[in-house]
Amino acid sequence: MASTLYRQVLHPDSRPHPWPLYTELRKEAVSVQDDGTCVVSGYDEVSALLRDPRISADRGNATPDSRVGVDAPAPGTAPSFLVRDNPTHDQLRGLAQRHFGPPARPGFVESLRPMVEELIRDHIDHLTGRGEFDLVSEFSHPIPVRVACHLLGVPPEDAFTLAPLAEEGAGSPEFLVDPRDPEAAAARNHAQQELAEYFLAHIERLRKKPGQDILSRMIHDDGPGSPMSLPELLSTAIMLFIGGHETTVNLISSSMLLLLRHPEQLARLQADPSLAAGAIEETLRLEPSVHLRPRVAVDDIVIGDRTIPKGSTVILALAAANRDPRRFPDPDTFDITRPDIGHLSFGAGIHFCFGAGLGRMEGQIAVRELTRRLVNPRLSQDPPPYRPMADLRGPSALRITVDGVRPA
Amino acid sequence: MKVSVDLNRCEGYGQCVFAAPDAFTLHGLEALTYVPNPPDEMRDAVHRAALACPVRAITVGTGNADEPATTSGENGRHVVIVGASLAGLKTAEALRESGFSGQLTIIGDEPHRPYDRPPLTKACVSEKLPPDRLELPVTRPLDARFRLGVPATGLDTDHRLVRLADGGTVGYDSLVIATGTRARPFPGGAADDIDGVLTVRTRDDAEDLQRRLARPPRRVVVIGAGFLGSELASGCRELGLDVTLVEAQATPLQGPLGSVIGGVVADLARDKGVDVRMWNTVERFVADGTGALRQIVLSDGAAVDADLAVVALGAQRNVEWLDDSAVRADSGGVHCDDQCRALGHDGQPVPDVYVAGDVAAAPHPLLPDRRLSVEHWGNAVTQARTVAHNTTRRPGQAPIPHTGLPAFWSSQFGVNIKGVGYPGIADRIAVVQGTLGQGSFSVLYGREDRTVAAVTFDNGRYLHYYESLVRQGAPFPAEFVACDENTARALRPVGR
Repeated sequence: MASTLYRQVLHPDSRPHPWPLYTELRKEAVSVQDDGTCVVSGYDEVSALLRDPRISADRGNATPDSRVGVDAPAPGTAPSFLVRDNPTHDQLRGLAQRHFGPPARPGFVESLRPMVEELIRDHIDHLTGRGEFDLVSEFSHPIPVRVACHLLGVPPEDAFTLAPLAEEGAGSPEFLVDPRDPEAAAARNHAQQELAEYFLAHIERLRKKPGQDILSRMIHDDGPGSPMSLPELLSTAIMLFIGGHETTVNLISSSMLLLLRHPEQLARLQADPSLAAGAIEETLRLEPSVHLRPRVAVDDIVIGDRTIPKGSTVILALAAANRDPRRFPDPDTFDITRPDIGHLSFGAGIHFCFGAGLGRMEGQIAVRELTRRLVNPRLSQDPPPYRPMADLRGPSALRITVDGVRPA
Repeated sequence: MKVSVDLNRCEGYGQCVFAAPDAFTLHGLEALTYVPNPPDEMRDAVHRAALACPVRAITVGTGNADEPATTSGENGRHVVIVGASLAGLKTAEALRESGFSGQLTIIGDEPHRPYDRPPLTKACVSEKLPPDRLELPVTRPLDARFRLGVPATGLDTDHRLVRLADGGTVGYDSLVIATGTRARPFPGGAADDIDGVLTVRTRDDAEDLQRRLARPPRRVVVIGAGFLGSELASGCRELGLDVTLVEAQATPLQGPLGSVIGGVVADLARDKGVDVRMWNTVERFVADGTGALRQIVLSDGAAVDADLAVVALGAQRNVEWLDDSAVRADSGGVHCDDQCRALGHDGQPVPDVYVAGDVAAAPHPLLPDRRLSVEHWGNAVTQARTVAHNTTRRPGQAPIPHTGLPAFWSSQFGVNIKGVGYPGIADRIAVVQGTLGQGSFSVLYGREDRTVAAVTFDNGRYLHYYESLVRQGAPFPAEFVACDENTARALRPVGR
């Protein structure tokens, strides 16, 4: 039954190995669930819907019974551009992009490279003398958190308070283990409230004493359309903080998991560190940090012999699309020199991942340095334990055994 | 290292800019330019950029001049390609890609190796992209013999010979005609003896224009507001030069896009400070005592003082060399069928002669009584693949038809215009996303009750959906709800 297939994907027991379920899901152009949710998992179909003007990111467009566990924004915040349609999306995103990337600041992310390299060097130095460690808590998690803090002017010491809140508040609530569980919802709301309170105070600090970070620049921007209103600044800051590290944590962990599972690919990367970029792209394809993205159809959408009815919640199964054999030869094979990757892990269309350029850079430097410096690394446990959510999927711990750590 | 980007595919995500900000530049929301020959120290960054492209639009290769011409395959079939520009080079590349191991000769009238033409309008106003650095990359050895700087002057299909201007001949087993177009000069020779009136089609033209723009001129007059003229006017404004844009019709781009959308472009041009003179032609050029351009008198009687003028009145097809041949060619191009086979005077395919690129005049897919020649970059690329397949297909292998929908882009005045289909034959338009003249918007074009084209202004990420409507021949106006509709979807005449 198609409906049980998607329920199985959501179940935490499926986290380590959801792939056979995705293969089954792909057999239908649209898999309609008993609550009306439409799951799309083929590459061409997902790719087309990401660019389809009839698809909205604003969950408010769903019919009321199709809005399972959709968050109201935390008090004092406005919906971020992640969940807005145009023209608002482009306006808000443009006000943030102006400080982060092209066309206004094309070299900004590259200018962070020395900082990221230093962070990564220090964190690997810290592993010296250890025979075994958890890569997630000692490396994959702290590095993106520190980079996100740097980006938003958050003092590094505050990362310890903020990171658990981010974890609690991340992702879409319908992908919680039980979206209707009032306790889970309350914990999530509480986390988002705390984040909002922190960033409200933080924004006031930066208002008085700006730094070089992009949040300070957004607050003090006097260019056209600026500055954002306080509710918009708040939601943008929170979204950039969560989005700026949660996904990169998974990317770093998953890339090492794949490389350690495939020693021949690891050896190729060690022989030619410029393959790090290919290793990250292939990781993104095979083990994307975001498996599922929710959207809403604002019109009836016909795909093949199926129709997504207007008002339905549409789940775009990015991770399933990335292994579609109609698009990728040997889709389950990990090949860091694969030509023509073209994964959908950062989405496509106007909501294409805001921070992809930064996430890639962190991932590339991380795998390059880890594979260069760890001596004979291997997995202590395979499969690793996974974080419970079905959309932001990644290992909660990744225990690695090594024979040593080479100096930087 | 050589780079080219398929700007039809590019959706302006800017991921290449994040990875290699010195090699790629984003202008406005989604218009990309790039350094076609990045220095070696950028190699890693450029490779990262190519891998990061979400739509796989970036080709990194070697220059097509980097490999020596060899003589391998001398005993195999000999394919001769007349025309050493995009269509010719892409045909050669596609031939080798499909496993063709015979002999390959490419004949070109210009002395240069194949280079990318669309960036010329950007190159002549930019220091980053000199016109002499636009050589097209190849991703595999072509193993081709180039005969450059020697125009073809005749075709003898009976003896399967191409005659060359230097008196030589080249025999072929299969022939590909890809001689493209040249700039249409100012009519009647009125500008022939005046220094400072130019056309821009070739690398040499662009270099000449670049030198003259650097002087700098007091004012540039661009004559003709099609894609080329409009882009040139935009580039001149970027240099801070005074520009007058002269056009015989009501708006820029009226022929291809209609005067409603053309009117949006006219406003963009005016906002950027272009002196826009529509409904005007050039009455006469006035030279000073040395023969240099001093003034241009327009048909409405106005006199514009200017020392540089660029004639951008469209293109003429290079078909004269076929005049006495068995191939049917006229000012519309070389007649071919939907498999890109050249047709003879009896309307039947001429054996083993194919046509690709701007010079091809194929049956119009929507209008049975018309021929269509598409002067877009993307068409040269897809037609080249069709030709390569059909030229070398093995016995029993079916020929493939050329079904590519025309697709184009043009970046001007800070906006990226993209389109698919046949807007030039439409009679009505409907704005389906956004509002005309206010940032990003999308427009559908209809002919009678059928959707025949779509055009986006800084909204190319939605074009994929509209392309599917055009491909299906969806009813016009297409009935669908867009998530960002904020304008009444008023139908109006396209404006001709």
